[in-house]
Amino acid sequence: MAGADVPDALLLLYADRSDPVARAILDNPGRFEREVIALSLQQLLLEVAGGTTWKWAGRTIDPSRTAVVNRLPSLGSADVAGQPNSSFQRTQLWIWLSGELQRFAYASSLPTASSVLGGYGSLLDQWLDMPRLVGGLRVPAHRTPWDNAMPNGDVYLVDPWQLYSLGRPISAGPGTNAGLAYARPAGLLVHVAQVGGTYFLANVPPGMATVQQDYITSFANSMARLSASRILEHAFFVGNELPVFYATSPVPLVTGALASYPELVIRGLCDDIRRCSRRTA
Amino acid sequence: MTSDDVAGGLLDQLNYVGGSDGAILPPEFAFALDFDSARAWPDLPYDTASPVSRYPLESRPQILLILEEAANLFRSRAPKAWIFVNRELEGAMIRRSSAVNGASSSSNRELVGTCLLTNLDLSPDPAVFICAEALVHEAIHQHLYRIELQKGPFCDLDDAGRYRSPWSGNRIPLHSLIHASLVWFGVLSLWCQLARSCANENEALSVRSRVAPTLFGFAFIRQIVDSPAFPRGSVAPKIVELIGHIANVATAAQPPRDERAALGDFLQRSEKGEWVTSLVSGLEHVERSWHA
Repeated sequence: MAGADVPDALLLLYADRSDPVARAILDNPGRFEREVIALSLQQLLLEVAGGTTWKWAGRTIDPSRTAVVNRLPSLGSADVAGQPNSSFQRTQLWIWLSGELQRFAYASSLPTASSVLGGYGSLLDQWLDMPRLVGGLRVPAHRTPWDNAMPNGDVYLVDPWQLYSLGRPISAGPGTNAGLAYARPAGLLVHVAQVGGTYFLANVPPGMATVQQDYITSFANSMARLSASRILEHAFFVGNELPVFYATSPVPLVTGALASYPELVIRGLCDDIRRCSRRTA
Repeated sequence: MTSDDVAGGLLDQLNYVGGSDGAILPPEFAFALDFDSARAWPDLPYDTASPVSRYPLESRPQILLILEEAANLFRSRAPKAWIFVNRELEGAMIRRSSAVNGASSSSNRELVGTCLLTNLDLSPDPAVFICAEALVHEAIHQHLYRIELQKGPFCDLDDAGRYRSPWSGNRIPLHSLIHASLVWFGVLSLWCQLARSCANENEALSVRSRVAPTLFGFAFIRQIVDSPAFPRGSVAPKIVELIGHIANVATAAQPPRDERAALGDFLQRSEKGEWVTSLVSGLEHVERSWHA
């Protein structure tokens, strides 16, 4: 039950109703312990006046009393409905969102320089930055653009912006050598769906050791404590040794299709808004 | 250690909005053009000393024309930048190379006072704008190098990390990111000054296409500097503070708190020209509030 200090409304900003997070909210508005307001990107642009408080359809949205769930994708992609046609306006909108969402009592994510939806950038960004965020995190050995040393092992080439691709083996034959080279760790991919401090593991291989599970849950707990992006899906390689982090993404491409995902969104968000909103901090 | 005075002085030098304030303008570029020297640039994918990288004599008038147009542009529309460029640059090496994609400019702290302009003839239209931006960009680097030589580096020059530039999207060394933050502020003010006298919509479009990504970088530089992955302890505190302060310029062209129009309408109005007035005020505010 919502207390007196927690936000009294939840604002969903979305561009695609089929996004698993947006869908969980749109299909279950009565389960979020507060009024749910959903605005598409088009409505945000055409119908909202954003001053100290937002005005929309004759009502006032007060950022200081509202939790915002940001599901706006990166502007500029051809498939984003309702975005401005002009690049100048899209950039201004991105900048506006980055400042504006910080004013809300709770934000599921803040835009970054690489995505309106937040997150941690490309695979290269993540492999460089995540071990500094979560000490001891194992990431794939890789080649950086400024150091041409090729990693040893089963080397793959991947587009660093394709967080869901493993790329192709460099040994696969002729083709471009463009892309991020990394040594593919042994094992299978295990995915973690996370909303705030609530998460579950998917695709867990039979016989995964407790110490391996603990390694991943320890990472999820660190992210619950440290991450400004509250809705993430992580991927780890799990073989015989400790898991190796592959990527984290604000789009739950794998776990979002699971039947248990909407419940994670509902419980995770309610809990996270209660714990993490600025008014209760 | 970088002091208050140094940081404040930097801000004064990086704003090119306004007139010449009565200063006598140099009639032409005061720096030397080097088409032929055997000087080798330290960190390039080609050899500036090689005869292959020199422009043949018959191609040079085209380069000189671009430079002359840039000089005219500065004198008539951006006099503060003109004075700054001529004060900071002692020489410009002019070279060409197929190892570099398109037009490019460079500075290096081992060659203070000199910049390198590569493939100036390949500048996209309008080439004069590209040339003007390159000269201001590189002149600012020279200014920063000189301050660092006198007062000490702004950051640990031996830091081995690479950090995401919100302007280029590339991972770059720490000292490059620190310089970039200051350089882009100066370049932004140049574009803002030029935007006040755009002759036609094509020119305005060209200016907007440079201003928007520059503002974008400022909207996210603080997030990058504040992230746990960034070595704040390796940067002079005053410089961190200055970068955080100038980042406020990102919001200059954003809707004011009392804006009552729909967001989309505001964005359209802004693109049609309101952004120029807002950004002029924003730059003034950033400078004034630092000194307050």
